[in-house]
Amino acid sequence: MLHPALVVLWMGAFGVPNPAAAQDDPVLATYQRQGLRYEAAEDAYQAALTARRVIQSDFDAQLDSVRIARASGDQAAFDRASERNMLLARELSRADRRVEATSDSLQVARREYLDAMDARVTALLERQDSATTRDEAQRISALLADLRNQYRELESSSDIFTPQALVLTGVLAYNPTDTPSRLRQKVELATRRIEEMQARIAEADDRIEGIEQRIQLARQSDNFQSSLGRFDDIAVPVGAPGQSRSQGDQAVSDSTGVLTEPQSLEEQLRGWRELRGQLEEMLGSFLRLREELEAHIGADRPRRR
Amino acid sequence: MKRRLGVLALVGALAWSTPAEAQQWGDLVVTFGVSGENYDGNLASVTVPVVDSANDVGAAVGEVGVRGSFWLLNRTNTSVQGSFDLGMRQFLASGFELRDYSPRERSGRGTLQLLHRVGSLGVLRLTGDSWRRAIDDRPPMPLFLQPGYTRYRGTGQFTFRAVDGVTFDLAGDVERADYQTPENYTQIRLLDRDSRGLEVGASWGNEWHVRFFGSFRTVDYPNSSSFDPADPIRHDETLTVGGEWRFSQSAAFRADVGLEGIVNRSNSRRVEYDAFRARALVGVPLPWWGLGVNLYAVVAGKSYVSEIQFARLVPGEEADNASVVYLDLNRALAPNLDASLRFGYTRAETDIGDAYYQRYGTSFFLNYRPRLR
Repeated sequence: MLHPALVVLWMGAFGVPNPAAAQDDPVLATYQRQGLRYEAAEDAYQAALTARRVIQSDFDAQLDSVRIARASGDQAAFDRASERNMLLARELSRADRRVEATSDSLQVARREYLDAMDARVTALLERQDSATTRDEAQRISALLADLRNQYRELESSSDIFTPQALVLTGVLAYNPTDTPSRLRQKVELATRRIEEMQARIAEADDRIEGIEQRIQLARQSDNFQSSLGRFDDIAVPVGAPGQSRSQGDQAVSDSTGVLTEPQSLEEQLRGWRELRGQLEEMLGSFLRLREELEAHIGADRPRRR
Repeated sequence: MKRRLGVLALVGALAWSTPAEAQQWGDLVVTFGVSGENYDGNLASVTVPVVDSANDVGAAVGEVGVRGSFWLLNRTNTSVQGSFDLGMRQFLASGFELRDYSPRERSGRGTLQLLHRVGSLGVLRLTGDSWRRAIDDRPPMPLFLQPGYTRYRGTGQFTFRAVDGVTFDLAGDVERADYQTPENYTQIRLLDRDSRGLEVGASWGNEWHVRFFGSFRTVDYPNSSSFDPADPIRHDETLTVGGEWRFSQSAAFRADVGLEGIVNRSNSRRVEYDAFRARALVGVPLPWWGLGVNLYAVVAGKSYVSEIQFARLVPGEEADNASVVYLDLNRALAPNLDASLRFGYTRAETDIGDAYYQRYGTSFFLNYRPRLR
């Protein structure tokens, strides 16, 4: 790939191509096509990022509901809120994967667009070299200058791929206009959020451990029943041999309707693990944020709770 | 054979026509086991072709099995799940007077189940089951092994939407069982039957799931005589009422307890009886070394309406009472490998001549789940 600095040097040295001839130019066609692809990939990425932010916002609100339900001492409300929180964590994970996938596509499109731009610059420089009039050379020079700007703009846009963009810290983020007093308030708030995250992670760990034990218990029970039933070892002399007592497991219904299958323990485990992952990520971002805020306060740090 | 090919073709067609993303494995488990068994008693059975004077025999047993389940369709409102369970068990029996028998059991079960949510009314469940069981070199009593058979059952069940926390269900089923007949011995065909049943149930509760049910079943035994010249073919009608309590919401234990009463009436006075059956399945993790315990116990008792003098019985069907207890001590050796040590005891008795048979056994099993890592 041609470095932009070299582009500038080359631009000063060569003439201008004929723009009409560029219509049939395969290099130009590739450049235009890659430009469109890049725009589409960027749109998709931005859409995924926006959707992710909406879900994150719901997730944050649900965390508040969990906190309120816990404070109220209503176990059923707490369980419902936790369950909803877990489902949102799964949605958030899905949104993360979508953002990651569109980000990957955007990076590929970006690289290909830069390559196409590079090829276009090379082609323009060749045309400038063979330009027959001063006007033509100037037109090519203008195109090259525009390309150079586009190239630099696109290269510097790489910061959109950093993961920090995915974590929202809202009003807590450092603002250069913050006074020391406001910074200390923000640190206290961040500390409360950190403690909340740590408590939620501990709860998630308890749930995960409990579900893992239930899975193990169910698995051993399955093994046991299967080894008994496979060869009719538990048939007893009431009724005809092998005839089952009832119609087997009943579909479980909930208060909102009838489920075709209750959520399996494995699905619950996946959900809680994803929730834990999200909470860990949030905890990390609040810890980093608090460090940053404290660094701005300097030596005059408030005592942590 | 044609019927079996038909079922395979149906499953294949469903699998073929279902998008790959909708198909997924539920579970896949391969089991290996070895056992030492002891049998004793003097209870005779009409379905065993040979008689031996030994009252106390033993057997070394090896077995292998594989079971699994898979989704052919798994959508929000509709799902189709298939499952299978195949097994082979080889006995090396000793202690008989006639000769040393080496029976081999082969068993297989296949199930296809459709679940469909019908609006807000409830869930429809349609299930097709088939069982096949075969025994080579079936030994005499007291080493009792259930006879071989081929069995099909179709069940339709509707579970209604919960009203005030109570869920009602209604089910109907039809079943056919054909028993394998050893050469020159047709007594076993007495067990062939066609049956139809209807069951209603009501259940409630989340932590403790409670269900009460009542069922009515009619059974025709086309090869069994009623000894009534006016109505020569045996025909039974069975009323069952029961309840079950299930707890599986805790990591501390799981339990499934059931109790039922059975009234069986027939045009053959010999098999009219009232009976009960109580069973319990409990699983508990132990606080040491990752061990767990499972217990299964069932007790069944029977009271015949008329005194009978027919001494040769079918232990699987016509003994007066029976107790079965199994206890296993289990532990996960790896994320995909479980080991268990199982102890088993079975006893069946009849009032006629105080005849009985009982079985003790100790088994070691390894359950391997190749799809888990």
